[in-house]
Amino acid sequence: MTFRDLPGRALRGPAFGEPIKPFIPDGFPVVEAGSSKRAVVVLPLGVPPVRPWASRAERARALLALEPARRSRITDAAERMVETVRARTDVALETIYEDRVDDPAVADANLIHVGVNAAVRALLRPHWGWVRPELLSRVPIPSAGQAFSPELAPDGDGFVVLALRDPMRARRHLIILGGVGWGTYFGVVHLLARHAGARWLWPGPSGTVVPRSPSWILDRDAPDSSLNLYDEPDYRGRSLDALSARVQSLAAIDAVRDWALNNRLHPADERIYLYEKNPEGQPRSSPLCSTPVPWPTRALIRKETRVPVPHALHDMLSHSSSTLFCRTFDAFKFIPSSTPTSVRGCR
Amino acid sequence: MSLSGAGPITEGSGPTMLPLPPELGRPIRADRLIPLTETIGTEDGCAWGGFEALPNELPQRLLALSPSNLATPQIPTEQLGALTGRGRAYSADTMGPRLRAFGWVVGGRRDGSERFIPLSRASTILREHQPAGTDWKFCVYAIDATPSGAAGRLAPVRGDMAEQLAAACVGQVDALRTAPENEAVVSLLPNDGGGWCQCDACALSVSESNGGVGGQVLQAQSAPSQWRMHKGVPLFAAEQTEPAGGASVMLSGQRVPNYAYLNPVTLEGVSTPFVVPTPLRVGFGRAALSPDELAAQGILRTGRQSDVFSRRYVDLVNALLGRFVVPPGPEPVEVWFTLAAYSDWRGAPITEASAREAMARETARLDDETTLRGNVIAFVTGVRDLPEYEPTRRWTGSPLRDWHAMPERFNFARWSLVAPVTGVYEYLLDGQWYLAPRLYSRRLGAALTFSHRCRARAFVGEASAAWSLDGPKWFELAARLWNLGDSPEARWSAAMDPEVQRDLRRDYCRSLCVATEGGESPGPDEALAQRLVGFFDAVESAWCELLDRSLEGYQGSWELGLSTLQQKLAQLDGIDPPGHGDLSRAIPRVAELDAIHRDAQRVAPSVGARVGFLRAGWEVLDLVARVSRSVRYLRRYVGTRTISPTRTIEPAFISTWTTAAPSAPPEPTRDMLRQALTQLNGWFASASVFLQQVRDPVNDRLVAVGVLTREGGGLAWRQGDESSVDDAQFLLDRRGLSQYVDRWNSDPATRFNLDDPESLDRAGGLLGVLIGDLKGEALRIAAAARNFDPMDATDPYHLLLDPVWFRDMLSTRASALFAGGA
Repeated sequence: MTFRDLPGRALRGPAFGEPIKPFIPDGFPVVEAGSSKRAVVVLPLGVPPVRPWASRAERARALLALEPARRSRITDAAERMVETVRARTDVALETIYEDRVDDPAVADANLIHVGVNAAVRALLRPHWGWVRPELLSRVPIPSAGQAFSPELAPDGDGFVVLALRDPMRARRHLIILGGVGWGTYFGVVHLLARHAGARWLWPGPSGTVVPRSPSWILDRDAPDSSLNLYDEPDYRGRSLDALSARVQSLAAIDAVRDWALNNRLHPADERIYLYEKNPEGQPRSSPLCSTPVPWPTRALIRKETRVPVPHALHDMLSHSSSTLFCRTFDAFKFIPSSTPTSVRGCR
Repeated sequence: MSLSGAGPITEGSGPTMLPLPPELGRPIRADRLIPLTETIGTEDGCAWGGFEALPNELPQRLLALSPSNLATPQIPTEQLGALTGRGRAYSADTMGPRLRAFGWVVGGRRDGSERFIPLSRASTILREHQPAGTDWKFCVYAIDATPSGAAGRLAPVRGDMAEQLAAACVGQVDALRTAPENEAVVSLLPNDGGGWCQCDACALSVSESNGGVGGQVLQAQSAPSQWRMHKGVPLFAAEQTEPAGGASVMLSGQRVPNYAYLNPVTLEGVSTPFVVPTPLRVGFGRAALSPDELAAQGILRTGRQSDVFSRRYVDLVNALLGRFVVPPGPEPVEVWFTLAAYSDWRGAPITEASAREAMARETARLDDETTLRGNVIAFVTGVRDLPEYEPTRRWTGSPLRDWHAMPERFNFARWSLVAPVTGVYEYLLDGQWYLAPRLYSRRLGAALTFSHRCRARAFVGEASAAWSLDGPKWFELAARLWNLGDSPEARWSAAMDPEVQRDLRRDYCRSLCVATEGGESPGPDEALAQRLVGFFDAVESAWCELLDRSLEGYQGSWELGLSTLQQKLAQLDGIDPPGHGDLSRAIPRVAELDAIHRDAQRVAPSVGARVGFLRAGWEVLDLVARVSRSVRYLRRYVGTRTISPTRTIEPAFISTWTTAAPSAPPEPTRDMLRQALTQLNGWFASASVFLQQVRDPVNDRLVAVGVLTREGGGLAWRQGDESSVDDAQFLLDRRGLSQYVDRWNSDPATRFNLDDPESLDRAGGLLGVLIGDLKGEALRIAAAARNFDPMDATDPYHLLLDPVWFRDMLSTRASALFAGGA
């Protein structure tokens, strides 16, 4: 191996082999004008719901609130999906939790799964045995075709976008799974950019471009197939420091943060600037909460502002650590039998 | 005589040389005004550490003039008035009697409190840290970590303290165990020789700011007499984890329980146990010899890229990690260390010969002794708009062939031999550090691809984005980071997303041109998109060509063109070549963008609004370009023979403003001088409108900071738009200005009074660095004009670049120059 021939390449390519690719040859209708068929967004249990925010400031307040557990990348991703579909078609997608997918009210709806849930697991389980080797044989990594090992694990930012027809039901599934929550979000914005033409050129509504259309049917009109897609970044740590340096309001910080996320960057220091600028002038309490908060908020801030580094650089490590496997792709939580037992359940 | 009129300038007219306009009324006491524009920056290029170069015997007053000097006194932001170039500031209120301690704000950001770390020049610290023997010492530089809230402690320690550091890292990992992603990152970052400790050099600023520590006042409450004090800072013994006597050290209202310090007598590093709740940054001290001394002995190739220093740095990191064990716990933790190859230890710690050999053999890496341990990411700092990153200049992999032509690339490749993973640290800053639009996506993309092949998997960009000025820069960068596009390993991309990957710029411009009104958008206006592509291509070419012209023969740096206002203004020459000062003429690019904007409005309101956003970003740039035309022309003319023999960084941008000089006739130049002086005086004397460069991205409008006028006997300040954007490109902080105007109108003692030295400082602080710079420019031009003779081969203008001469000149002559005003 030379310095010009390095491991750790991005995994990128179709998630399935050519013969299996067209799962849904006529596309996945998210919104179809004149049709009563609808799509709903499915969230896994345990993440906060998608809420209609009264204002961006309110959303920012919640996003940057001191309890990060109340936010989730998956919720953010679903929210982005709903928001963009509304901007494109004026249709508001409904969001439900996974335990409601069989409710009569949504029994015939197509499902957009944001993040992994029980239904996704059930759907993928029969396929997984051949999906994964096919995937691994298609990616340009040195040990392609070898049995799965942690070193081949994709990055947390990576995602897979799959379109499946439910073999038992007359419904279709669009599945967006990320290695971690970030990956799910990046998968959603990728889908929106690639198929809905959405672009986030600069922060704020003036820089957001979503072409208008009464319908949005994925893949039917696309010249290539990027629905059954597997992707991860070449640079696994991607962040812009001081991106929010020039803004002061909650809403503006939120807008800049959204811009970074929508362009598949990691937020870096929005919280820092928020506190630094401290628009409400309460140095020892949070500007975000009406009730004073004990000042040492580092532990909370840190969760947003850790030094951005690659999530999973296992393949570049000289040592192998099974504990690192916990950072791998969510989809691989369907642990194949060949996986060493030591990595089971490490999440 | 007033220069605001059109009176002739007579050579040798002594005191009437540069009278001030009557509005100012009173003469400036020039012996109290020391322009620093040419003393900023060290010879090794670090603009942040240059203040040690100032002689100790400064005159009473010091006015920092350059927007790029990052002058930052040790005060909290809340008290800041005017902004310097990087958004850092100094305050009218807190300017000390001797503005000595400048610094770069680096610390204490993570908990939201304001802390400032005065920088000392590396060589000064070295001198003070010079041990009796040749034993190396390391500096622990722990931002907001040790000692428990005292930001930016630079505590020199010895190599045998690695164990303690490792324990500190373990503590941090424990603290991060609850992080949702199970990830801990400990940053090992060498401070650039700056920071401060309690050595004499570092304590200098402490003593002069009455105990101000890192920007905060360290108040020893009920300090027991047994506390050892060093220049106002209490020192604790190593075994003393709590101050004795029940008293406590308060820092900004917070208790400081532990301490690490350098024994000022023995110069031994002593530390109490660290508490490291947040990223620990580890730097290292310098060798027993200064870089220059090492270079003189042939140990170092250059002072800039010191293999020896970075070798020691790597050794420290390895020593630290050798003692570091991920502590067991319920949650697995992935720990990464980052190392920043920063500033003058950007050089990879392997010899050139070793690197050549390794690359020629195409062997993997060096042996374990010399390489970093496995979980360290070495971030290599730099800018990637240098000519060597032009995509057509391919890295051949031949060290002998590439070394001189592509020193930065070669250096990165060397780091990839040392570090298991590398990272790219890019100074993207636009609109602040850089006046001109700085679009260099092609080169940056090529650099990212190259770096990726050199094990780079992480990217950090310092971004103070001017969204509307550099246009697609950010969009393109984000896309490239995800998918390099032309790397072999990204071969899937062409099949998957051809349009985006083939032409991100076209994608950006086409998206701009999508009308989003109505129920169904038509396709983008392709013709308009193409014009935008052409516009941005031209902007990018202008910047890159400016660099190429300027950097001929120069081997890489990242602070080029930033040290002085001269250099910053010279950036404008690429988009607005200085000619005869027709101030009414917009710069050509703006005229072009105006035309595109008009057509965009005809396409659709939404398209017009987006292009209007871009157009607005050029507003202030256009203004600055216009008002600086005459100055830039003059500089270009006068500056023909101004290359300073003492500056190593200076030639970088000089060639751009010396090209036409020999043929310029003298008389137009005198006219230009008159015009320039009139203009400059007008800038800082009369009502001024300060616009912001930044287009408010959220509220979608250009922000006018406001208008400062003199009405009757008072200052009037009309606030600009309310906006979420409140950070001017390089002008004023409107909140601070509002406060000042209130104060000025209420208390005559605080008024802008040029006869009052204190007031002068306030004025300098308040009215901003730009104005100060223009004052400096006026002084300079005045002196040049006084001695100016274009036919004289001994043009004394270069003396103006000599700070010593300039200071002497000012002290002996400038007061006379100003005395005749009004």
